[in-house]
Amino acid sequence: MIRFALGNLFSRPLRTVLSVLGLAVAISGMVGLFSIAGGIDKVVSNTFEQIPGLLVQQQGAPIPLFSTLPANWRTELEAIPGVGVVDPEVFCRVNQLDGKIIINPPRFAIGMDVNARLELKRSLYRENLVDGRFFLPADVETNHCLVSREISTSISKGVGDEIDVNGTHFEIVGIYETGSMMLDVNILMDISTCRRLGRIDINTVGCFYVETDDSVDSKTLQKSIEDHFRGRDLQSWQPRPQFSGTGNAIANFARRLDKTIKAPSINSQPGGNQADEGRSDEVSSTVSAQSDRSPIEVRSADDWGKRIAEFSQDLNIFLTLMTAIGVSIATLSIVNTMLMSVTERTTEFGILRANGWSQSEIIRLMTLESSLIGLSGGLIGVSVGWFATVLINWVWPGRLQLHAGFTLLLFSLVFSIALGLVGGLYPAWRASRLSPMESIRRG
Amino acid sequence: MVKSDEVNNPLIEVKDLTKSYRRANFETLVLRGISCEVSEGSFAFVVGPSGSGKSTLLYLLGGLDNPTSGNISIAGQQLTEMSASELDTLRRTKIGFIFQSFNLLRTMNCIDNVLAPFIPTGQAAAKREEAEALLARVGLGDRMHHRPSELSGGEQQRVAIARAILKKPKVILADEPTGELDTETGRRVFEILRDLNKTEGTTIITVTHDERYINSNDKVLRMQDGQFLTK
Repeated sequence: MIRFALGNLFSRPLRTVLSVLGLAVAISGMVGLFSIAGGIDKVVSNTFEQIPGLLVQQQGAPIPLFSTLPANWRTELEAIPGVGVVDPEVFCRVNQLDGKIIINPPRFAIGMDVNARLELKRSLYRENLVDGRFFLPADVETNHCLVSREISTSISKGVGDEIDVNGTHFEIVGIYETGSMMLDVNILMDISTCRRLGRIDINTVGCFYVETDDSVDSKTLQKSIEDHFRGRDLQSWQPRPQFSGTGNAIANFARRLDKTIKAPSINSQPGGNQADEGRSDEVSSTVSAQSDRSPIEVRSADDWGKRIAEFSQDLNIFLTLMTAIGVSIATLSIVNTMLMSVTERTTEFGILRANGWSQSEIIRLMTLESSLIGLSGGLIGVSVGWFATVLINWVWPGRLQLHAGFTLLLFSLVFSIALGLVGGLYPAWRASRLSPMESIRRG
Repeated sequence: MVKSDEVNNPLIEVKDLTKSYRRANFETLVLRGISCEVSEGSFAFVVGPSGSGKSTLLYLLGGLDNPTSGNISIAGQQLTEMSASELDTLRRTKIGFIFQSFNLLRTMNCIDNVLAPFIPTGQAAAKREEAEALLARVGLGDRMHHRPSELSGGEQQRVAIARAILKKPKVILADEPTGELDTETGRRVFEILRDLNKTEGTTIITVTHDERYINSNDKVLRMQDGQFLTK
């Protein structure tokens, strides 16, 4: 039956090829679009899988980059049972690098407490050092920095070279490479140096990175930390002006992510206990009298995974709608091809019926032919789509990260076959309903 | 009723058969209550002018259409009482068709055309040797892998005959089998059919305009305006 079906398809090569190509374009588009969501999933999971500790950040901030917390909460955090090391971190956008305006891909300066970092049992950047050295206690308050291999390559500077970050000179002491598009955009430096660079209030930090002392599990410690700060109130996170511009992929992603995962707005109730003094304008010093919410969020890698999955679902709905357009056109093309085939092969169906073929066997033949179109279109589409993602990732390694995984490729192939099958059903039904006698006489 | 000359064991019985077509509120009566019997192993001709209902009768005998009224029985089985799948089985196993335009499947070679009835049942591979022998028997042993477009009209009709007889049918229904062939090729086709009738005992019913191929022992059913003419 397959040989017969193939013979029929090859007997009208141009029409078959056009139909296959129409489907291939739709399927490759589908692979391409869903590889965006796949890429985001991969980047985010790859990023947070490398961060085994807990991130304490402002309630509602989509990622630590957009969070601001009182600096003196560090002492309280360190006193919570189960907490091993607390590393405060600050962030600022790098607008100029070696005299060049930086728009995309973005670059960020991350200030970290060097001594605390050195105490961590697992340190992301230290573990991924590829050249030079990691920070030493002597690097505190200095203009020494670590850059990613991607930044090093893009500015053609290596260990021992000087770079200009927002008008300030730094010496590169080490180069790291995490493989994550979200992490390999950072220039690392001492926290006080970063505060000066970004004019960040000395009383604030972006977030705290907390490593457990292994006496309690992460979930328990997560709850302990949130409970400890419950009742204090910080103004809910709002986008900073510096992140509200266009053309910044990470900021745009963060805003979208924020909309997806942000909790209902926090009810600020002025007049309560003062949690902290001297915060920035985003860290309101008002404290609610009895708020049930914690002003902070403590996130583990698992939490990030779940939140990103929610975000991806929304994105997938959008991508599905876009894909549906191309797929609908491709399906109509298959229906058209098969209907034309039915019209031309009326006599053939009559002959087959005269030779004992049943109506269902005629339907089987026709749907087999349309499924073969689906299979061919799917194979080509999946291959082209996959190759395109590889090519795009290769051409723009720091800007785009698409990921067409095996599941997506397999789904696309099966989907394409199913489309072929569905597209062939109506023509097949029509073919089977033809009167054998009329069909033969017409021939 | 028109009876076969030696109707001891009628293979086909047609009783009060009518067939009408309705088009645009106008009903055309093609067969007007005809009855006949054809005995097993006979060689029958249905002759008559165009539009007399010969081909319609042939297609009704093959279960390719349903009569408006009346009954057709083949080997004791009433066609009007058979389900669609039973009719399919009947056509696949007991009835062979030969058409004026040969009606081969153009995407298949000779051997696959002969095997076409058995493709959906998965028996094609098992019957391949038999099909090759049949093609050799009709003189196409060296043309098995040629496509219909590479064959002459006579060769195509011989492939159609091989396709019809591979199933070892009880009856072969031939609709103007020599209509598109020259005299010599037509004679060769009838030689094959007569040989089949003689050696296998296959009942053959042929619709034709050309009475040159009728022998004196053949049963002849003459039709005009949807009815049999009595001798």
